Amino acid sequence: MKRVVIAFVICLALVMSLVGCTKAPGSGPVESQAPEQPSAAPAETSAAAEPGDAKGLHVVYIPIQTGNPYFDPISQGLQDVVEAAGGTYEMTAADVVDPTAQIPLIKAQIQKGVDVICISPTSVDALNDVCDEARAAGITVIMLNDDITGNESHRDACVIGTNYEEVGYRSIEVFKDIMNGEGDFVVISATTDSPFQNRQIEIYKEMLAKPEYSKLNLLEVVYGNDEPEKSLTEAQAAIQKYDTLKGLLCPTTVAYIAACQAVQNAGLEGKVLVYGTEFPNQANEFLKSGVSQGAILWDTYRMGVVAGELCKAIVFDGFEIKEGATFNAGKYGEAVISAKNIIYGGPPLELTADNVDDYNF
Amino acid sequence: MENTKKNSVAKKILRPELSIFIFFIISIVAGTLISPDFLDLKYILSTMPLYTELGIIALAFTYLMIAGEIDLSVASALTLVSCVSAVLYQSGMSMEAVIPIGLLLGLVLGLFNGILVTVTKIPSLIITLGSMSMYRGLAQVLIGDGSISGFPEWFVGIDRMLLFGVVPMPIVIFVLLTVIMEIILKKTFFGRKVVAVGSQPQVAVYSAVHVDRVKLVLFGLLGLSEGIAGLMSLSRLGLAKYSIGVGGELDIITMVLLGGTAFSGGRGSLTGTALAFLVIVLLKTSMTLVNLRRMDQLLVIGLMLIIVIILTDKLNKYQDQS
Amino acid sequence: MKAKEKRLSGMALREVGVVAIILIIYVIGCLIEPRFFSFDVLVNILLFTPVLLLISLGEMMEIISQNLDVSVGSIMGFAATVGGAIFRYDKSFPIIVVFLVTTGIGVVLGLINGLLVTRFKLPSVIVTLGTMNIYRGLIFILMNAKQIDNMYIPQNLIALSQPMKSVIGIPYTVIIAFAAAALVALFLRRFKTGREIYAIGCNREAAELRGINATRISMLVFIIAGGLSGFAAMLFISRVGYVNPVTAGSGMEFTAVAAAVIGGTSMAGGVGTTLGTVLGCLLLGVIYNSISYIGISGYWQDAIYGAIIIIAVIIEKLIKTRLVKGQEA
Repeated sequence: MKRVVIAFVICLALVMSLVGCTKAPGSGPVESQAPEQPSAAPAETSAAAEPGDAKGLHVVYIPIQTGNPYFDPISQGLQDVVEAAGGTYEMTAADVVDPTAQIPLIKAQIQKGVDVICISPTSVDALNDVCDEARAAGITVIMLNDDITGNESHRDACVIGTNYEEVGYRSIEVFKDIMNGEGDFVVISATTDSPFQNRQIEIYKEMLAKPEYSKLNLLEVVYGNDEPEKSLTEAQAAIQKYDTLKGLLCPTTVAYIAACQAVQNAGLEGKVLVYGTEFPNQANEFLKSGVSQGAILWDTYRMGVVAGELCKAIVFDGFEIKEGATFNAGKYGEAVISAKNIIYGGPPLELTADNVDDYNF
Repeated sequence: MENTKKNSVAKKILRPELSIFIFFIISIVAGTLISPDFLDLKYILSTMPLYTELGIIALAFTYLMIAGEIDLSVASALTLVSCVSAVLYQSGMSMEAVIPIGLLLGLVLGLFNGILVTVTKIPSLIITLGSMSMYRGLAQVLIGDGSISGFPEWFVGIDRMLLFGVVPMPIVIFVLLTVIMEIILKKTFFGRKVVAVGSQPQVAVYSAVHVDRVKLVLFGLLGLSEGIAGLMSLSRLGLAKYSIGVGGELDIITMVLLGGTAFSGGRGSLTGTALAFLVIVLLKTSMTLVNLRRMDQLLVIGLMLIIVIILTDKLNKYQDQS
Repeated sequence: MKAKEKRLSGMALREVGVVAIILIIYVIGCLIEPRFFSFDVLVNILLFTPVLLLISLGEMMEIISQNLDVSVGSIMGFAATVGGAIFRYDKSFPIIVVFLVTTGIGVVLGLINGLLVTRFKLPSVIVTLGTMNIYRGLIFILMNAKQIDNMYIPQNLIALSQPMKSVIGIPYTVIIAFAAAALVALFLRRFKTGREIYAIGCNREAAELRGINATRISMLVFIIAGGLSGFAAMLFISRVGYVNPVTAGSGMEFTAVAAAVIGGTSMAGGVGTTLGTVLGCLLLGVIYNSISYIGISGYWQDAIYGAIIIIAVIIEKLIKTRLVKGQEA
């Protein structure tokens, strides 16, 4: 018993003594203070400029998850812009899609004293407190690709790929055309709580209630949890369960490819039609072979570039984010800030067998 | 005379926990070297509560593993307790009433596994593989897509409650639990029963140790720790969601194994688990500070596991010889 | 003579329990959803098994020899990433060669596991927990791996998983996997080395006294398990159609252990059959598929999946106990 207590006391003493010897955090050579770093920051968080980074453009991007290829072009876009401007760019992520996993990452960036934090949030409300902490330390917080709907006051701006509402309406419209306006279909979604997919499905249902969609019949919404095996199983089950199945609508990339495979495996090309969101490279073969009749997405690289330009504008030009203001988005021209400080990266991208080779991501 | 004195001092120091203690020091040093922002006690203390919930479960898990059993449903149970508590509060129950119910629920979830394992004699790995899905699934059914928030002021933010203005409450709880549980393990009759059950179950039976009862108690204890952790997580985040804490069981198992507890049972220490918890927290904190890629972080943790286990093994052998 | 007979029926009884529960679940599924009863569905259930089966077989041999290997998922992921990278470089690369490459990688990674466990005499659980992380991290360090998209994967590899492309309507991957299982069974039963695996699992000291080199056998088991995982990587690519280096194989180790244990492999070592593991995989496949077919809402699926697993193993245990009691009577 004594041993345990002594051991702990020694540990604690060691730690405290080591800490006691430390200089105040954040003190290193501070050449030129970045213009937008206010001294409103509390003493112990490093609000000083990163040592060695004279430009003061230290941007960190936290996507939803490591290894998710969807975020790579976004990161690339950000990186290209930031580094071309002489800034420092880093990307870090947790490996689970867990709202609580992003919090320590954000806290670490605050500790390091970065200038801008870009996040693709895994939760609409779990990050409020830590975002406030970051902004109090003088860090600009920008949401990327997904927004914290209902909690917009906790972030400075949001850059999303395109107007997702438009994607939803366009998807169901194109799908209706593909299905020739009639038939039974199943929607294969991601997890039951994925906000993007749920909103898309809401839009589908809204449109399906209209008279011109009356012959299109949504049989069921199934969830593939964004897992390849599960999505395949659900797609196969849908084909198996419903004799009259004519279409599979997949607002998530994992489900889209699973649906294509299931249709191909069952030899039902042309009889069961597949449409959904997917990358050009994943959809390529299926579009060309006729297994799928189309796909829709948006330019993720462009989203990253626009976000990068926004960071530059804020840091270098003191750009003030408010509705209606415009800033220079590099090669994409002028970008305008819409309501709730949202910026749309670009228009939706519709893929077909004819144009899929034009894109490589 | 002199020799035995030297030997006994050596024996006290060269314990299996030494290897993880060495790594504890190394991780502090490494962290400082990697990032100038690391050695900020307040920052480190502020990142600890995030993992403390897992740490508390790891303590009870150590007991269970010493007794030769395993429970994969720990993270799911944590989430289920958190979600059920949130739902109860939202439906009008007062938070004061919800807390004991949450703890009770944790106990029940642990006992559920324990009863199944001891009655059916099916390996705990399989049973808890099933309950792992089941518990999280139940949380999903109960709470649905969204998250529940809006809890009373006094309940939320346990990680901001500071002892002496410096140490977050969760850490205080963790340290206290470690000390208490280590004492129970090493000094009480019950503790010895646990070790006996794990190392030689047949012998234990002959010495009138009711193996099943001991295991049941341990599963219950684990469940209770899940209850505490679930409530703590609810307080820290201020919200409940069914997708929280996925994969936590792997972190917990790593902590326990890293701390020197044998997977096959019969040997283990709470101090080791606590030190392992500290090491993992420190490592994760420092690696996160330099935005080390997740894959590289895995590499570091993996290498560390192997090196620590080599050292621990050597120290165990040394202990056995003397 | 009598002892051998009893043992044979003992082994058979274990499997009968699993077969029974598989049939029960399938029948219940068919009753709820009549379309569940069709050749296509059976093929789909079979398609769940190839990758899992190979990995479980390796895991089974590990457990029999008193080891536990949780790095098999990462080994498969690593091998799959390399295979995918080869295809991205040259889509027309002969598939057979890539099969050999991935299997070879699996062998090497398994060898490393084996060395760490036998040379340093370390508990396999912790070592493989470490290598599980290390291999996954190495995927990125060595290859800076990004997802290998569908358009880089050759069609004839994917065709192996397609029922229509097979002569007898059952995909080639399933046939390959079952053939491998048969080979494993043959090895374990008829070859001296195979039987030695059981021997060191039952009683290591006694086996060594009989002149069996336990270190060599353990090493061999790790190598075989690694090789099987590497081989399975190609079947994985065939089924999924693309390779995501982060998620490929992740979490498979738990499922593999579950399949082996459900099939009668004892965690204490020395006991386990190939047939049992095959049945364990099939059981998981039936449960997994039935959940999607019988119309359980997405919200309930996880909960029901977990509950069914627990109920299934309990019933299987009951059947086994009844049968054993009947045998002894």
